Amino acid sequence: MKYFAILKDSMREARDSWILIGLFALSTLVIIFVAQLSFKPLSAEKTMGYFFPSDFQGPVIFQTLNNHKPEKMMVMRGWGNFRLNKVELIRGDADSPLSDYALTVSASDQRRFGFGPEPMIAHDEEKKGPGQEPKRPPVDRKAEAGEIRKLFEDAENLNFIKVGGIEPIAHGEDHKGLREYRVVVQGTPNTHRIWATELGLVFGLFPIEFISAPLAALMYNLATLVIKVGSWAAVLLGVVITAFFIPNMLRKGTIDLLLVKPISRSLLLSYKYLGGLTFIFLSTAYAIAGIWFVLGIRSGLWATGTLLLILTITFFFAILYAISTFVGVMTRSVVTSILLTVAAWIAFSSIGLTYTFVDMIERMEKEDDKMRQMMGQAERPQEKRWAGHWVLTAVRVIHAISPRTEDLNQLNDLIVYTDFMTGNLGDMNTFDNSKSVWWESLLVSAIWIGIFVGLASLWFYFKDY
Amino acid sequence: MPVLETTDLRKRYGRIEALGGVTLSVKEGEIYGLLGQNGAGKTTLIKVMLGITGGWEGDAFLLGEVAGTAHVRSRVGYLPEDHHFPDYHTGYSLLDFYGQLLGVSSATRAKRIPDMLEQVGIADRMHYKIRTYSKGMKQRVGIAQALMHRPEVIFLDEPTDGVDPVGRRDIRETLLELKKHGVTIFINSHLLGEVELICDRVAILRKGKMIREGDVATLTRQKGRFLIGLAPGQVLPVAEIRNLGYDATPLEDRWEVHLLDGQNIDAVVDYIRNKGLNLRHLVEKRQSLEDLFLETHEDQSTRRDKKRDRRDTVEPITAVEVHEEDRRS
Ligand SMILES: Nc1ncnc2c1ncn2[C@@H]1O[C@H](COP(=O)(O)OP(=O)(O)OP(=O)(O)O)[C@@H](O)[C@H]1O
Ligand SMILES: [Mg+2]
Repeated sequence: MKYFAILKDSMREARDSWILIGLFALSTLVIIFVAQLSFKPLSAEKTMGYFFPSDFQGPVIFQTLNNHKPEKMMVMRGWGNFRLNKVELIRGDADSPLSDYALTVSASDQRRFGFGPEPMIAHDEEKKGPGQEPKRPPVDRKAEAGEIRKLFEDAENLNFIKVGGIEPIAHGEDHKGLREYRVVVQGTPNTHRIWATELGLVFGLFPIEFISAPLAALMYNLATLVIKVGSWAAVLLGVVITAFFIPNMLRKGTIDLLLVKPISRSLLLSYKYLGGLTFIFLSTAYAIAGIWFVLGIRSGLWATGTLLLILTITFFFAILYAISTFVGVMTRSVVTSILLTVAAWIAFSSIGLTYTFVDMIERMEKEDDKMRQMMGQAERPQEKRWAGHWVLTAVRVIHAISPRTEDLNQLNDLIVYTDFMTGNLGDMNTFDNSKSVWWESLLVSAIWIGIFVGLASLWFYFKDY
Repeated sequence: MPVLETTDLRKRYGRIEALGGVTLSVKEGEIYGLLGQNGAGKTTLIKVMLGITGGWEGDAFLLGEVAGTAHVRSRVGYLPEDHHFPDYHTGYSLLDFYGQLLGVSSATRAKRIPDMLEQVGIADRMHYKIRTYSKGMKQRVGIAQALMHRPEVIFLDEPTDGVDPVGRRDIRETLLELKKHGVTIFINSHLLGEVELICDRVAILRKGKMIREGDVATLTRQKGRFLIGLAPGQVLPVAEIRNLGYDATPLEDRWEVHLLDGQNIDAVVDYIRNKGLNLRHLVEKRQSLEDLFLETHEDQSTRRDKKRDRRDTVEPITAVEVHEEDRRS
């Protein structure tokens, strides 16, 4: 009851400052922007093409499904040398994700490099003399079929598609040197998530032809862009709005009137804190649910797990608001609260980013070790190693004990990603192999919230007004 | 049991001693006035009683609980000095907010708030933002919020600050009405005339110490000074009365008789009667509270400035009579 009274009071205060209206206007604009986007499914040819490497890069599907696994992406790999020649419908409607298709894939001896599942060193380069064909052992077609299957491996594991069979196609004499395979793929209820889709503006009136990708990837990139920028702006605005709450409450002549009410000081402050939080929760809920809803309507992909972002963004804000409350109680100054809160935010993000960087250096080093081993090179000398260096240890310790705002950002990213990809947040671990332990990040951050709010309460409790 | 009681109450703000051992007690249904110069510690005393400030020493009890206890505060109303209401509220929503914090049910609030605002005379503006209110209107809202939950004790710090004379009279009437219902009222004020009009008892604080306390009538009585008035045209034989050993001085149309120890005004009255004169007025002379206040101030200060002369100012006797009647009403 008293909590609702204080919440309502905070709402009234926020509404009075126009920033709240700004916040809702901003959210509404974003929702409207998303609502006018259109997602047009493209052909089966385009979709199946995503499984094969192009001249410039590895297969789109591989990149899509592994972009949260930096070390998998980092290593140079050979892709074999496969090309999709033809896609035939063998069952179901044309260009439907639920249909079965027969793909004609050709393999040639010309080699291409890119990023992919097999380390490049598997195909060691032989020196070619001018005009000389390299001497090769006869091709084992079964093994080659196995290599083609590898292109579908990640997608098959996640049930995005089923490979019905891969058969070599027999050719006559005149097709000397050409090896072709017939790959039967079957659509699953998940295939629509990786279906080639083209983005359009103003309800498809202006198709953007160069922006096409598997639907889930398209949506993920879009949603992260919108949510990252949006939540960043919303949290900043939220910090500004809520920074007024505590100093205004503590104003001389205002606080007396609250202190004489039959409510304890710690409760009063906690309610005020929760009030600010609820306020951010509601605006976040409005924005996220709005985006979720229009995206669902527009694309048919109901990424319900992304609604979890309402909680994680609110939690993120809770860390900042705890600092703002603490500073507000100590200094009773709005400007100081805003500046110190933003400074803390920058500091935590820097710690987080530095940690991510350090983490990446270590992974790369490990991959490098593996590579050296495979190629029979000498091990990297200890003094040239980063692992175990005191700077890294220091960064890791600081990261471990400070509020984990950056971890939360990464968690958000992973939630959005997983949810658009498979719609099942249980798959988060499949996509992510970062060392972050999410519950630990949340716990450490929650402890910091407790410390800041607790200190603020303590100060407030003993202060004479 | 007293509603409010302190024993040797002390409070320091760092090196400043705001209260230096105050002992007072306020009975139920009493209107108690606390006087004192700026910085005397009046506001501090209220803040201690309400738990706004802590770290005090001595004893302080409010409604039978140690001062500052949270749950007692629902039975207490408070109007602070220099209050600043959150100005994003309207008069109505502010009372609604405070009412919720005080635990007043929503049905009661819906009924009582308009009544309350009507009573303090701002009902027509109750749905306007407080930032559009004039100073006196804010003060009226302040009175309303202090009374809205029907408290048993009310603390008012400068309640009539900025309020026009009509409003001041209304507030006085409201307070006297509350007193009739047994509400205890504790007022800090510099407007001595007003305090005199409504307070039963007053205390004067000086630098955190209580220097006078008592009921208004007793404090303002000037022991042994009487004013005598005779029927028109008659003259009091001053010389003869002096001969009797009484100190008599003629004033404009009255006479002041100053009794010495052991003397009795009855002897003078008998003498007048025997002389065949007609007694029309006989009043024990009183000081105004302001005189008392200035006197106590000067008693304690080493400064002897010209204000000292005002000590002997005589309040017109009629005014004192009016006061007397007013208090009885
Ligand atoms: N929060 C505070 N911090 C430090 N000193 C204070 C504080 N509040 C009051 N004081 C000091 O305590 C003393 C008593 O102040 P108080 O406000 O009680 O006076 P007052 O009698 O109400 O004065 P006024 O008539 O001006 O309202 C003053 O010397 C004042 O400077
Ligand atoms: Mg004061």
